[in-house]
Amino acid sequence: MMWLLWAVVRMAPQKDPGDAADLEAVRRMADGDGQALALLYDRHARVTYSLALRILAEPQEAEEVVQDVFSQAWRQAARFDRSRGAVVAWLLMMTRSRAIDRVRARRAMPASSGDPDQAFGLIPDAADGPERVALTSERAARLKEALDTLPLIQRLPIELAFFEGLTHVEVSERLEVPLGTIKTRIRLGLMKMKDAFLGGAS
Amino acid sequence: MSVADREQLRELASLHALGVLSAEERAELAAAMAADPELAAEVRQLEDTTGALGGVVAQVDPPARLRARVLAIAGIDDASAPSPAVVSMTGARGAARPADVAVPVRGRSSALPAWLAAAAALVLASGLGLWALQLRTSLETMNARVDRAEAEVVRIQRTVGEAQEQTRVLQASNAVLFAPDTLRVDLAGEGPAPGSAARAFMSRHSGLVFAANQLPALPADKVYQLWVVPQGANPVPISAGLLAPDASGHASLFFEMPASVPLAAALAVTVEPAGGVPAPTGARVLLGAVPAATAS
Repeated sequence: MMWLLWAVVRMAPQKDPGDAADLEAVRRMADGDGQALALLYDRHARVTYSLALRILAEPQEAEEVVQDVFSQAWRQAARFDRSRGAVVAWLLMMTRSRAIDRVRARRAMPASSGDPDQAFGLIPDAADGPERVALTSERAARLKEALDTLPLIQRLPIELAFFEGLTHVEVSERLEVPLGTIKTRIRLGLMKMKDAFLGGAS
Repeated sequence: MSVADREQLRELASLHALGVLSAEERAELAAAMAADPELAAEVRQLEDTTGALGGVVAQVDPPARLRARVLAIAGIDDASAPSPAVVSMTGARGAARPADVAVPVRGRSSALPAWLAAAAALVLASGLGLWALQLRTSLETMNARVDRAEAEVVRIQRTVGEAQEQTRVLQASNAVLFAPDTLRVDLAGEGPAPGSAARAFMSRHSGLVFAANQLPALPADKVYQLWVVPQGANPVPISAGLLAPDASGHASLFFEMPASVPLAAALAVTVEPAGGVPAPTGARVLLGAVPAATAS
């Protein structure tokens, strides 16, 4: 479980120096400072590469995804909006989108959600929304535990959607379970994970 | 809203957080969020949850050569990275790691099976893989350059906008000099700036052109401010703007003279806090009486 400890240590809470350093690096990247890109890469290459590898199961493609993600971060640093969450979450979602696109292309499936950047976190915020939830080490550990302890019938659809890039319709076909049931199971499972993630935060 | 509708939106929120919604479904959810803050809050919490989910997978070190390829995007030559062949065989960590990795790291080489390392070596030996990587890196570098070029265009557009504004002021100033009702005002230095002098041309219809010389430099928290002092017993001076003298103490300014400005008796310059003030408070450094309009 050492890797989990390590992953968890990496996921700095939003208000700690780690996330402040990320924000500062993104700001400097927007000014064209290449050393800031190096800093961000050194801090998050491992976690993004690991996610890409988990989804693609192919090191060369995982590398390309990470390269694309940091390239996109470099180009779009000026547009990063901190109200949408932590920098590391932004990198992870770009990683997932790009990796899923490749998985689907490999299987000759249509792109899952059109513009990958639209797939997450781009629903316009209502006027004064609540603070985004920070990624603390504690929360990450609870989230991992919640995922591990979900009943398989809830966990499987969630993993197929998140890590394999299947749509809910495809999950339903793959598992031969009615669509309505799949939606309900995904919802129940995610609510447990959300509660674990937020638990004790209020 | 019915209970069933509500439950359906909650399901959409979960599917959205997993990134599997179609564009139409996302639009439906966004519309519902706009009308339902509670739903919007839940969507954000679910997004944050799945956002963190990507980080809880088994952690594997990326090969060190990847660092060089990423840094090439920003035009940095990452000399610290070992050659690709060495990395793929040993998985050695790059030399340039941040200081924050003083945490125990999982025993390595469990990630790559031997056949995979061998396959990777084979690809490298063929040279094709490396060539593809180089092409890719060039492409990324080109993309980055295009983005820089776009940013440059925006900067140029801004500069053009500033130049157009300067042209407009020059044309307006010109109009003042040739207006039939233009009066000349000479201002003399006084108080802390006895050596300063200024001249203004003012027309009630075309505006006021002002230029001063030999203004002493001011501390950063102070600024010169020009005032139009109206005629009358208890005149309330009207600000005509702030003066920013150059290194030689020269400053100029154009003021549009709105129709609401009454007939002027004098022009004055005072020293005020940075940013200017609505009514003069500081030491007066220049003063000049406006000649009677009939006299000209």
